[in-house]
Amino acid sequence: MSTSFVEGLRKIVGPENTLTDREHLFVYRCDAAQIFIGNPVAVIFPTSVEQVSEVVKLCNMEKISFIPRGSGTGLSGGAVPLEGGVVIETSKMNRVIEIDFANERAVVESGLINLQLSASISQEGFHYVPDPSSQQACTLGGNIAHNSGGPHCLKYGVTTSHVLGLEVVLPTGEIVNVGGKSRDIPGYDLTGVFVGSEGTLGIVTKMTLRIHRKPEAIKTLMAVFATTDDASNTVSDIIANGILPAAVEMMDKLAIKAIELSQHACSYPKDAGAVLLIEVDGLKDGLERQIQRIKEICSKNRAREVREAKDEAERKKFWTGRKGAFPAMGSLSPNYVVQDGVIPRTKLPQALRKINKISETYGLQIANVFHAGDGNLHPLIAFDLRKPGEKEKAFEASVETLKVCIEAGGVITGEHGIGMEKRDVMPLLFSQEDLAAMKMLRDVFNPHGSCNPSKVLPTKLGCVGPSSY
Amino acid sequence: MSYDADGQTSSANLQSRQIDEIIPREIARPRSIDEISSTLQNANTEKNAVSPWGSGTQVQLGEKLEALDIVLETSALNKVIEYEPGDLTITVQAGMKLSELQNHLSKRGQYLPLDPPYGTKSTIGGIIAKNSSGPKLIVNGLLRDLLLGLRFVLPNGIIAKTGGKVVKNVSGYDMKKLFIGSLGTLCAIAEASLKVLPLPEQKKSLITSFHNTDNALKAALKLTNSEMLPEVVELVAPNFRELSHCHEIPDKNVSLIVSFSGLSEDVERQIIQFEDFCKKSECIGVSELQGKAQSQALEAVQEFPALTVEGLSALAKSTGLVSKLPEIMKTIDATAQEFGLQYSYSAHACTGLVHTWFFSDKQHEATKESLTRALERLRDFLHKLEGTMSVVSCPFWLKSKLPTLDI
Repeated sequence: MSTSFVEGLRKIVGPENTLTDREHLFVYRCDAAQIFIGNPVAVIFPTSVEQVSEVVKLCNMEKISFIPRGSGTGLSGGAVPLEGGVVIETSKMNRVIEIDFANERAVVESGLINLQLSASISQEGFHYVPDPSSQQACTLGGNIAHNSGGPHCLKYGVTTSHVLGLEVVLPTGEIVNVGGKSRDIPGYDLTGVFVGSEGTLGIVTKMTLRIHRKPEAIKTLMAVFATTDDASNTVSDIIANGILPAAVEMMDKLAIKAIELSQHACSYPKDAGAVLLIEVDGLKDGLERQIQRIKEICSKNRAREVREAKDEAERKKFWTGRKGAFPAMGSLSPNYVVQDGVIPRTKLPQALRKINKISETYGLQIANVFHAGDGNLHPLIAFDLRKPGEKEKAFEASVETLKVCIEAGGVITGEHGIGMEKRDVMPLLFSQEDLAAMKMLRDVFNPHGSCNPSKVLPTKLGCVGPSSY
Repeated sequence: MSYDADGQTSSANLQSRQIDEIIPREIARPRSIDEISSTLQNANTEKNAVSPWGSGTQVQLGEKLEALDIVLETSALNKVIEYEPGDLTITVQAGMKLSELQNHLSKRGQYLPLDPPYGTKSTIGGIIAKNSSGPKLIVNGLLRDLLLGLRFVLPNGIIAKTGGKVVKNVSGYDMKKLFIGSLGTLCAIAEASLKVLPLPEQKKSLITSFHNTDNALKAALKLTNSEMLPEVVELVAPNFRELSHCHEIPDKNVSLIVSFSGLSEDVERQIIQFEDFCKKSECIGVSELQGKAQSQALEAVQEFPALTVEGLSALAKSTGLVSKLPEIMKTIDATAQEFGLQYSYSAHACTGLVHTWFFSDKQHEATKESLTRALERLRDFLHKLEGTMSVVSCPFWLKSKLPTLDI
């Protein structure tokens, strides 16, 4: 990398927004998965879309790749700068440009933190719905890249349902606007293509999002079961009874143990086989009867205890544990691998049994915390990096959980994205033709692979097997 | 592989499959995704132009068709592939009619929350290709929210899939978004997996009339700015009844049709609350649409874009911000007046989507010119508001005068 290149970068974003020293670059070598390590040549913090565009053009001239990065909370290595390259970090493009309550839209820059958007519209009684557990730290741009979910997406839909339009810097450096101010506009849905493309089709710099009135009333239950089977059956029964809760989350015994040992402890009963968090929301009139029906279904499925949050404080307490479940794994082991395969809800009991078997086979603890309402599993496989071979075993076990999902008619990721981690597992789910079609799409935007290279699609189309790392 | 019900290709059949005045040479009616693939593969080799065809209700959508050799019908692909009520998902073949799908789902107390025009005839594949929708506003009730996966065939015959059968999925690119609304220009859709919902416990509708659109929109805005969650908020023109022949809709005044569905306590409360609103908003009258009246009124609204309007006519579909609706409705009126045309409309007051029929019983050149200019004028105005206006139904000659899709 030439000094003139670095000079070029400094000229575009300013020297105060350019990092090139090895110690400064350290943090940007990986994301929250921490097991994929890259080697960026520089990290820049642009403050405008024009700067992003200029940097991309400069990188193209020098044939250096570029990688968009939000807060780096991703779990699949999506923001890892693998082949060197310039990390384009969006945290300084974090303004709220426009809030239009009358038309339920917000225009924001991609570096804005998810929760901060909701916070800025909360007083008017509005919120931004997609609520990934990392929402205190993750950026909305990152949410676009991963089509992020969250517990409340069961009823309200994932990120893509909440995006009206995007401003994108294409891998050529060209700035384009896709979408518009309404949901149903003519032409190809390029907005929908960019959402979930993991930063491989371009860099999103600004977005128009849907915001909604907060529900009039919310009721939250915590139900305690002796077995995950009983909890799973409860979820199926609720759906079969025509009730669509706003959120249904499950935690198993090991997950509860981890949570209660951690700073996120919130009095989940430590001897429970499984805990369900069920939330319903809407107009206040029908909610009482709905929560009663759910309580009955829980009891019918042998719930040991059903607690209804008596106020907002208790509701927050119920949720603290669930939202802190991943970091709580630290109380069980120094490291973990998590997958987020999805299965049809009705296959929940069998899937959990098979994951149990995997835990026994590999001799590794697996805690289960997941969005039971939509079948999105999160098996957390505990391991110790210091023990030779454990990392590899843990990853192998995690791929076995994905095979369970595929066998059950599901998919390999519901929220975390393919990134680096699962790109060579893609052939387990998709045929060569499926992958060829995806490559055709990618090549329309990113034919030279300069934008976030080596992510999503297998590096050699034709390879089957887990990523080696 | 071209045949009709008698196993023969007749010229009458070919005539009936014309698009933009081009008659195809052949009708293909594949019975499987593999047969779709071989049809397209052959067409690709022979450089033949292929148009997928569901029920043919809106094949004229889009710009003037440049060439047509083969119509690829999906009528033989009309089965349910997989349905698990406990998962709230269903997978069907593209040629299945929406009405048949709804029938199938209703037996298990479920439904697909889509109420597009041509509701009894349209196929699932066609609905996806058109990105069809209707007046119902579930928070996430467009195809982009409901479609989970597609199996499709690319123009070169390659069979592939995008998405899956589960409700959460970020495995790979979201290609199915590209195919929604693609009007058959990117692929032939063979199978679709969709999210479904439990049928609501109760549904009730009110109809209320006003002296003018401004008052009607004020009431609609009050409703949408409140904590109420209406399923339909439709503003219909004073002459809506005349065109739709639906006697449940009053004539001579602009009306607002409002529906609430869900838990019965919620529905009852909202009915009372909205009736109260109306009485305080200078309405002429408010009444509940009960039983058959409710279904007929809602069906009339749903089918408004599918009407056959006598004389010279064109249907404009405009999108714009809800807050700009008063301005938009005034401009529609002013445009019609300026160009000497009659008009009628049905507007989703919650989303800002308006369907406007412009028509005239005169058919001479001057009127044709007026119609063209009226549409151009309305489009320009919508653009100033950063909205869009497409012409979704029009006589063939109009396609040479202005772009019909506003892209």
